[in-house]
Amino acid sequence: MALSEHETKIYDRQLRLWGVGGQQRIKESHLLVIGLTAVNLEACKNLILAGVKVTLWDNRAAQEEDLGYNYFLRQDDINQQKRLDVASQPRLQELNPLSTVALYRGAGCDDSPWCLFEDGPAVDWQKFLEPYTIVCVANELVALQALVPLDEACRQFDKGFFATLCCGKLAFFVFDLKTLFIEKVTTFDESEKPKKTDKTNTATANFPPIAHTIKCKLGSLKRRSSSLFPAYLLLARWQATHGTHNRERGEIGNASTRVAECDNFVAFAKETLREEGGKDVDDDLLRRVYRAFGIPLISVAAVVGGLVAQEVMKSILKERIPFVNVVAFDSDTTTAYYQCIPHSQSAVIEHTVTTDAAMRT
Amino acid sequence: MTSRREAHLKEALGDDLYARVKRSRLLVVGAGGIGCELLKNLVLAGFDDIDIIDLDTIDVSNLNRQFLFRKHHVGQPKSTVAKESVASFSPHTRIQAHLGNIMEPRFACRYFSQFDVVLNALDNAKARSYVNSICIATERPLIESGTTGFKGQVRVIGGDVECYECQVQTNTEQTFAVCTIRSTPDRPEHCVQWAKYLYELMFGDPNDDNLLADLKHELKQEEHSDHNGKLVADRFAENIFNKLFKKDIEQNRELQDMAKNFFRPPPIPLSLDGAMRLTDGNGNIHGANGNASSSSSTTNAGTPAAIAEQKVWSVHECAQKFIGAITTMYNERGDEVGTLQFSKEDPIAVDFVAAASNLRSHNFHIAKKSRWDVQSIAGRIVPAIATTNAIVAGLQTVNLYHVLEQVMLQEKKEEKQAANGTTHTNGVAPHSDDKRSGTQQISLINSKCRNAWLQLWDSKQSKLVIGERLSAPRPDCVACSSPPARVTITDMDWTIGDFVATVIQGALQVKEPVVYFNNDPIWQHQYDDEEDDMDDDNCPEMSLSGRGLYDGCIIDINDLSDWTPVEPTDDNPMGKEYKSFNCVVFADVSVGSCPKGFRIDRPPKFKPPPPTPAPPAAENGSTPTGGVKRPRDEANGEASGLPAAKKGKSDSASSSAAAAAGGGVGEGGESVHDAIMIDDDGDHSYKAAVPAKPHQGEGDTVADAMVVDD
Ligand SMILES: [Zn+2]
Repeated sequence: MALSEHETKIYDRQLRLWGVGGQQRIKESHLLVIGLTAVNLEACKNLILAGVKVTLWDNRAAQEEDLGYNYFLRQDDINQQKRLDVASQPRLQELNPLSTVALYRGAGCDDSPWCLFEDGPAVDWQKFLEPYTIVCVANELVALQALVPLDEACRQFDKGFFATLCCGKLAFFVFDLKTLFIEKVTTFDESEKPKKTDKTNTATANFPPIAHTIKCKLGSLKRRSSSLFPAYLLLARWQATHGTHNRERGEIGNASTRVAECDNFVAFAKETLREEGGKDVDDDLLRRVYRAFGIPLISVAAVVGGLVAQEVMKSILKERIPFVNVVAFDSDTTTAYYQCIPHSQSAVIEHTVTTDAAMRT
Repeated sequence: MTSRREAHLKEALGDDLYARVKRSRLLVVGAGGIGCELLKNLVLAGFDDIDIIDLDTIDVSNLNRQFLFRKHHVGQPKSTVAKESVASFSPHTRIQAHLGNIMEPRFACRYFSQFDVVLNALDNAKARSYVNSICIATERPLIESGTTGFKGQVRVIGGDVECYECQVQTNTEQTFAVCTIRSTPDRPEHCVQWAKYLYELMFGDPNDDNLLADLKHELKQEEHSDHNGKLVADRFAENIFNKLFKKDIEQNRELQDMAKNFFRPPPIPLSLDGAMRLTDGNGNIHGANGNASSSSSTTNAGTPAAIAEQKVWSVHECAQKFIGAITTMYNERGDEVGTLQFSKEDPIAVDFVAAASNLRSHNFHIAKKSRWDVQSIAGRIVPAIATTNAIVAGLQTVNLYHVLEQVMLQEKKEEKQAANGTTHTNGVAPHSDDKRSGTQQISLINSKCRNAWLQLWDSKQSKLVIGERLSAPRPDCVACSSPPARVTITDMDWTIGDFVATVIQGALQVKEPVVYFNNDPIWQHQYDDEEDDMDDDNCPEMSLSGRGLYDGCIIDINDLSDWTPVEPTDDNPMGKEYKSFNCVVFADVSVGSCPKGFRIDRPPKFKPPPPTPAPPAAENGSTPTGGVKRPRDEANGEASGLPAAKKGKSDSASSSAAAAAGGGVGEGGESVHDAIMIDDDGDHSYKAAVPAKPHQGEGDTVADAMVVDD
């Protein structure tokens, strides 16, 4: 299946990075996006431009505030109370006519993605996941704990799993590629100047299941690492027991009782940290995460949606080493951290193979 | 009234910052890969008043990342299409799109002064350097950006922190020894460069930098005309072929024999007839570059389909393409011959350079390259993808909020001072058109602003985006250590004589001035005893505008009476280094009731003496490093600062490693250095590639600095 002349013209600049073989892999990949949040839309935009096939699934009705981050919507869509996926699809498709942007039409329970993650009839995950290579879910709308069965199915059927969360000036994502073998580690340092080397590097990235990430004892996190990681886990645990009160808008609690709930969350966090021997986390950070839960901010979504897309591309191209497995961005320090949770010595194993054949000419 | 559309935004930013955002004016320079992402971000980030400038039109190869453009926009100006595209999802935002070069006079200091913050989305060093200088002159904070492939960087510039030039390296452009181009090539790059020079020679107007300039005359002699005096293109092409690839190579071979150069095999002369008989064309398929170069033996699923352009032409095909390109050029585009410049988007130009470079490669036993690869090398194409641009534009937007928070602090401070009746430092009155009411420089050094790097994976690193605190400017920086003086006069109809006497000699107290505008002297001080025997080039009666000066232009003033002795050189036999400074001249009728009213807004600051010249760049593309910047560890509570001793140790390791690495030249013409960094996890020193300053890239040529073409 050769690339058409038109494709080589459109993709010219990226072909110079990952070659025709890479573009072929991209063409064969298929992302299912559940929940069109700010971060997920940014990731979608980047991946559609690169040539990834994307299927959208979000049955919520478009509202005025969605216009604040979803630039694929128009006022008319709001007036007509269209579904978010239906309303966003045409303009996402326009981004790249060479790719396909589809709407989910599957054998899910009725037409809502959310019931997949609730108690109900068992889902035939194999059938459900069959068309896709990667699934990306909005963590604002579904608690991480509720995503465990999907993650396990993704591991079983060899699909990539991503869950993203925007909390105002902070954002997070966790992903699970189970085992990613990188056939030839490419640094792309100086893209046009082949390095003379007698080494070929391969690497293996080993991802923990999401269930292990959520359960990870806070005391076992690296002590010198960013406090964003314990804050993220605490949020996930809280979300697991308290649910997502307003799924429609991805809020963690009721607006009216949020201040009081925020105090409860801080108390819960402190108690849990004590029990599990975690290092202290600033009240201020805990409040920030809690209060801003689900609030989209385009500057942050652009950065983190870009980082998500970058890791998705790694899972497709298998040429660069992924940032296993939780990523946290704080716009106050303009810094994005990553950490393997739970900590693992074998998160990334690099192998060096010395061969003459690897000499680049 | 806040619409529900921005309810989230207001909640996330807080009322004060939201209000400041609403009354901010922004300038975005560049509507390419980063520019499109940035414009979208800014509009959704609450900014209602944005100017965007780009001189380029949309190319089909932009569409994989410049997402505001569609196929039917190809050929249209980027700036206006970007504006229309954004208007479709944000009809209330006021966007002014300008088609033009940022370096045009209409966008000079006067224009820049309207904006709160300037954001660069450029792809070349010249324009970056220019915007940097205007931002210094007008005291605008500048947020700079750059990407190449998977790497990207954002820098915040202004006031009391490093400017773009503070980190400028020695010339990092790929340089080759003259002889490798002219007579002894040993890499495909040498042949490609030779072919580009040849292209200019044959179809363009070669400048002095063209290493083959002396060939032009010889090529002319190969011209063949019919009895009407009309050039016969195919005969001409044939002659050129035999001259370049046969006769010249035969000569070269003799010279090498004489020089007893036994270390390299003698070059093979190739006649056109010979080439037409040769078919070495097994159509070797080469990958796009390093990573894909093994694609013929790849383990990728299936056999990766090669695209036609990635086939390497046989010598026979090269010869055909060479002859074909020359005849097409003369027969179909004859009117353009003599004016053309190499363009990587011009298929005939690429054909010609690919064919000519490969024929020369054949002469010198060098591996041939595919047309695709030659296009990359010749066009200095920087690979570009949507994700990196999106991340970098996001990081710029994050920092924009930080800059505005700092502006707000500054404004509060100035308000308070005004209320207390405290006068401004220097007693300088505010410029009437300034967006910011005050004149005190904005302080960014202790702000939340961060220079940010997007990193590749590294086993010792725990960050993928590194935010680094800003540092103080280099004291001897040519750009920011002596910001231009600022003078406002009533209008540009002042005569040069009046201006020099009243403002320069009078108020600025320059005793014996020489005044330059655009490197042309517009006034040279005349000594009394010279009047008789020297031509007086000064035109004291001419108006400033008549001499080309405009509202917001920058002039360069030297004082002949004030100098320091330096080592005499050929250029400077007197060994005198005159004191000099730049000065912005604004025109504003409100500065004086009388016709010759003026005001000194900022006093002169003399330029620092020129630094001792750096050693010339090494040959074959490697460059000296020096002044390598590295992201530093952030001591921010989460990652506690390291003991000073440890840090010091790593620092010295850093400089020596960087020096040893001799950082190569990135495709964008900029160095990407290896440096040692300190991990926030503690005691490792490790290597990470750190760009020394923003990559020029974003998808396109950078060496041809005049071109802002992406
Ligand atoms: Zn400087």
